[in-house]
Amino acid sequence: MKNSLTVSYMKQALGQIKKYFPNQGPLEVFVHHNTLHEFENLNFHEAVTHLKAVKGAKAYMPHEKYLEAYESNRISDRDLESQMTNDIYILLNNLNEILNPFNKFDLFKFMLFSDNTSYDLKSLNWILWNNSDEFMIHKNLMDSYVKALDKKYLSNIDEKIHNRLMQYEQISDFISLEEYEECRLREKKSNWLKRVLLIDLFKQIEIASNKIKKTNSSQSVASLSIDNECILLMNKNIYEYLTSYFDKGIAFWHIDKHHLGLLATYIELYVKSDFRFKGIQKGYLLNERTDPYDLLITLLPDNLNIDELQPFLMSLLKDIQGWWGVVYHGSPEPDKDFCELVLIRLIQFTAFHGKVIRKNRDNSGKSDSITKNVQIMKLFLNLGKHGLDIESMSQNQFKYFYDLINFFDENKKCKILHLSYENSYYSKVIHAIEYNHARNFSSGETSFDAIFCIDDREESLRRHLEEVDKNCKTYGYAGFFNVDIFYRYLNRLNDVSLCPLSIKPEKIIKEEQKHKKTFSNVLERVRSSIHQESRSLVSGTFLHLSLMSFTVLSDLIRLVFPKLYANMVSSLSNSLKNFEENISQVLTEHGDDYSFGFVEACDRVEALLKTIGKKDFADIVFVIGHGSSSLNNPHKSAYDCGACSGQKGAPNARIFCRFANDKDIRNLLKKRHVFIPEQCVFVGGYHDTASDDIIFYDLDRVPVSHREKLDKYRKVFDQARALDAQERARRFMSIPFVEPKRALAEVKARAMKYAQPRPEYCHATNALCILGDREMTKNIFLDRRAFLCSYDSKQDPNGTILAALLGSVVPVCAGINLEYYFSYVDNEIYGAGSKLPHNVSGLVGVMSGAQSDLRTGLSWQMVEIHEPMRLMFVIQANKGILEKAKKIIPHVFQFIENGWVNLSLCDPDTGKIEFISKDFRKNKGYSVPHALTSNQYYYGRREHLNPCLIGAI
Amino acid sequence: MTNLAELMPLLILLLSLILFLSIGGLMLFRIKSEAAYSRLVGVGMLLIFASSIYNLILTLSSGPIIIHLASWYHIGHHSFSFVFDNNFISALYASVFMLVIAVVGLFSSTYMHQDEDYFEFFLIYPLFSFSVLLTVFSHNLDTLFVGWELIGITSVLLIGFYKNRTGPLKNSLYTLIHYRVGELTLLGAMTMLHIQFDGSDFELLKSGVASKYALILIYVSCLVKSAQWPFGSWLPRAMEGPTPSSAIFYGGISTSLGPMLLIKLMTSLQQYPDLGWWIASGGLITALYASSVGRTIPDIKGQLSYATIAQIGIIYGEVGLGFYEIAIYHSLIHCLVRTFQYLKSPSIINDYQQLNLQPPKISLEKILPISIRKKLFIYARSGYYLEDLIIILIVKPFFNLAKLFHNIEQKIAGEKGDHITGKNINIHSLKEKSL
Repeated sequence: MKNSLTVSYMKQALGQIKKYFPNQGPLEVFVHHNTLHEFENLNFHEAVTHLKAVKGAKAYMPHEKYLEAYESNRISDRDLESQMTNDIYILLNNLNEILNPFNKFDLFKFMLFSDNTSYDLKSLNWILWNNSDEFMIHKNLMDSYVKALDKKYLSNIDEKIHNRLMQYEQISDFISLEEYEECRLREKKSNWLKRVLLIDLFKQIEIASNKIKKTNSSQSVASLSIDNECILLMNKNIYEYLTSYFDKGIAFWHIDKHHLGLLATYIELYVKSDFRFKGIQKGYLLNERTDPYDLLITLLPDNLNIDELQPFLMSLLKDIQGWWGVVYHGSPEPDKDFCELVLIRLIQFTAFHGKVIRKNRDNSGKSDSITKNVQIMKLFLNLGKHGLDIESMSQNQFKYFYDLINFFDENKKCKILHLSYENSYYSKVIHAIEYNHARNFSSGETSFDAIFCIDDREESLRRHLEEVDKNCKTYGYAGFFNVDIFYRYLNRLNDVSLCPLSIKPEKIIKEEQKHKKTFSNVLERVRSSIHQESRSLVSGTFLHLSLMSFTVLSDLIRLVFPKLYANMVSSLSNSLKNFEENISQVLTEHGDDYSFGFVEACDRVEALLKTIGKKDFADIVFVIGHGSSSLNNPHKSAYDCGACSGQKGAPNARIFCRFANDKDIRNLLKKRHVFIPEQCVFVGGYHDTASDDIIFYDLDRVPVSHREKLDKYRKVFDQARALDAQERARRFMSIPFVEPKRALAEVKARAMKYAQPRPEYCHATNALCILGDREMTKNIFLDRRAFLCSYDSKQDPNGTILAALLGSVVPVCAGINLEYYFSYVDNEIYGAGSKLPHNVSGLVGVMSGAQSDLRTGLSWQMVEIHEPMRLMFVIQANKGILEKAKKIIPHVFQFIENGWVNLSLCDPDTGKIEFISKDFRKNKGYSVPHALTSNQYYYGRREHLNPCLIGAI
Repeated sequence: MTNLAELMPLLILLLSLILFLSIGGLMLFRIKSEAAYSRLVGVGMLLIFASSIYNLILTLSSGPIIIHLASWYHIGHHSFSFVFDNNFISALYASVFMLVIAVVGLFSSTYMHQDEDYFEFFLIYPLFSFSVLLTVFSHNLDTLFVGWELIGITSVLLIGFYKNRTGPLKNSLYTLIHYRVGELTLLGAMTMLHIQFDGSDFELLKSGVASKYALILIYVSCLVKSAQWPFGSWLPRAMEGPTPSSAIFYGGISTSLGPMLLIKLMTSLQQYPDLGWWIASGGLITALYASSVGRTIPDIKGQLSYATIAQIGIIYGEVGLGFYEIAIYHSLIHCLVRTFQYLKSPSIINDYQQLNLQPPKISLEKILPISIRKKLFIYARSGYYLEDLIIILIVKPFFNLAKLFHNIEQKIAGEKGDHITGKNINIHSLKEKSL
């Protein structure tokens, strides 16, 4: 078949399989993205089902989890009922003619919750003999089932049943004649009957379903793989090569790279020198001008059919999936590099004498049919049907049952259950918001404003701020606050971009230090270079015999008494000098590479204020960026601000305040009808979401007249962050329920501990994104599950602001949400597995243990408390505005329509919410809990909490 | 004073054994409370650490002591007896090892929090500390063998800690086979001594024909334990367990036991100067081999493990050349340093970012001409194919032997066994059910 392959066909084939590989870049800059990004053109459910078939990854949570959720009332009957769609109804309706009047919903539920255990003859036999009660939903039903038979046979049960059994073929699979007789004599009659009856029933089902199958027999699929021995050699070799090639600085001795890239280097190093590659014909490999696709065709094994091409390539690349992202992000021509990657695998495959192994799935097909028959058997058992009933059924009638079982395969069951799982939570949220609309809180004069990132982790802090100071107002805006910059940290090598990935910043802002390097910095550096050098031989030996005893001491303190160590270091550096970074001049009249011009800055401020609908300004407006601090955490960047490309958002907040405080810019804004009163001061700040510290910047620039107020509000912040810490602490099993101050100390300690794999739970449990006025969600306890984005539809008659907002918010939030979803439902395939054995490779990724593929996605310790639900957007706007926005950004709405996120609309006037996504129904009848303060509601509870109304009723 | 010094090692051992047994008791009664386990381990470790420090102070004044505890069994002249010693060196090693064990225990109680196998980890962990102490205080090969073997088993169990992936299982088997080689040689040494002297006390190694060969066998066993050339390839593969277990076994204690044993045997070693030269040159070869491989390794735990091998090679060199004091200091400091480095290894990305570390620069390799450098690189990167050689020479024959025994067993008990296991129960599907 090789002759028939063309380059363009190969290109297409490679393009096809490339989609299946995760596309996660180096860990230094971790940006959440949809794990199945490449499949966004498909419907969500189709995509996950497709990947389940191709990669064997789970599509939803395991079935038992949903059962648990039902038992704990997380899913209620109402939620299930709302998922009984028309086609299911028709399917169940068919059964009317066979069954006496029956409760369709009960049957629906039975189908949903029947388990998916797969059986083969042996296990089935074992269960038939030992544990047949398990087949019944109510375990004591079996006896009455047996008794019911008496009536049907009237008399001579023994003999009749005996005759029936003897007429079946292959009955010896279940029972031999001797056993049968022995059993009959020895065991109690009811026991014996039970077994024989079940065998009879099963045999009848087998006969009936075989008849149906003959009419539509399914073909057995051959699966293709590469022999294990070869794969082992290939993997060892490729991991060695790729880790070395992409190493960013752990190894001392770097690979000598060929200027032509990945493949050329591989050929240069391995194919030319390694003795194991002797068998390979090298002529065409060494020719640099050969087209890689041509090479690919030449190297493919001869005995491959054309339809086997894709599975073959998949099995070649299966074990280097995680590396693809690193290759992709470091390459100007990813397509070419992908081809080269495949080529390297093919060269290895040839060199290590790989064999293609084809396996027919006949065997599993057989056990599939047994499993299916057992499922039908369970259904009949629970409906009280016997073998005799089946016998008397027509083929069509039996087919209804057969179809029913086929319809409710595992995936379908989980899908329906999952939808009700989501529906249940969504409905509760909607109820809470609608109730909240009816409540009226009279508010006094605004004390201060605070603008936060839309991050779900800020939800609790904002709520607590509003609870502590009832008159403050909070807003949510993407955490880069429209300040798109490269930032040059004082002590870092590379500039980092502090804005969403989709924006390419033009300005470089530099950090300056007011004073010279601090002692602690120097100390850290000495320690780390000792760390590095101690791994080498000669200097390592001398270091061990000399300096290392000191570092051992400091490490010992650091590991055993992390708090003491942190205090020591900070007091040491404080005593040496007052340490503070400064930002260089960011604003000039016309702007250059290192600063913004007035107009540029003004545009940015105006856009932000318009989006959040801000008109009245309090005396002090806080702008708070966020980030996270932790130790021993390769995924640290995932904990920082997503809108700042996985970096800390502090500089952005600070720079935004410089803009907004500037007189020239305020004058410019005035011309654009944005009036910031003169006495209004913007104060930038930084919230550490792990330690719940809040730092304020440039306090020396705040006028003296505001100092008193500022101090007052800072106390409010202090109170709120302690409460926030307490609310977060309820999720950490290792922190007992304590009062806010203790909790603050506890979470702070976590961020300083090397031993702590869970400094914070990051975005776990996120499920909502609410675009609208804060009034809509103010005083609702949303359990840190909602991205809160300020939006005022009154200022947006054309839908342009909404379109811009959705255009940036949907990809970011959905990326976060879906990454959590997939990492949770299949932590081994989509996620990174347990964090504990992670091994950082080349500073670009983590492996599990000694040598493995790079692990992509999130580790179990990050997602373990997550509830996998797609994000629901609640947009506070009229339908008309939504339609207008839809015309501007059709691709985003396509994404929404494909079900990757769900959408609902809140009418700004009536406060009524309706689902735009079709799968959901607003279920009535939930009672929304009330509590005086959030603290009262969450204190002493560790589980997921439903939305709750806070404050007086 | 002497009496107390005689009792202390036994007391320390007893304490650690009790700790292990009480954890085992908790598991037996299915008590699953992390707090209970971590507190028990914490208090126990602290107690053992304190008593080993006290013991260290005692030994300063008491001088070396040999304790004949009891013998397990006699056959003719031969007896399997437990003999311990208590001198400054063993006491020092015991206290430093206990410090490391206690720190790592503290670390793990947070780090392993909510892991599925938290309890299993904390069952294996005190057993490890017991076996380390047994090894440190042992004064004959019989006692040593018990500790040596237990360390092997515990470390293999922790390498295969994550059973849901194949990598850990494969690599734990690989390590197990290495350890078996080390244990077989130790067993050989034991047998030789028993045959010649009816005993296996360390003093007996000083003279006689058997002693020299026994010493060589012990040396080989040490080489395996501390992953020296040519047995070095198992160490990087052992990084499969959770970080603290990697730290304590391969960075810290387990690998330091080889030099420690030789240091304990120094009076015997001094009788055979030629052996010293062998040990020193072996150490040098290892150091060169491991550091050249380690320089090319781009994953942090892998690099740390080769750095460990190289440093321990140097320590062997010091032992071989007779610089015992330096070797003791070096090995103890190294044990602490590496353990902490392993514990902190996941933060390396952060270290580089925060501290603006430059990637290490190549130095020595630059001298080589580029064609040789390239060739050398790929050989060094794959550990000079030592691993493949070991697989052919040791692992495969080992498997074949195992298969042979398996076949024999099947022939003897085969059909009956099949009958019992296979009749009605499909274990696999039952397991699925129970999950």
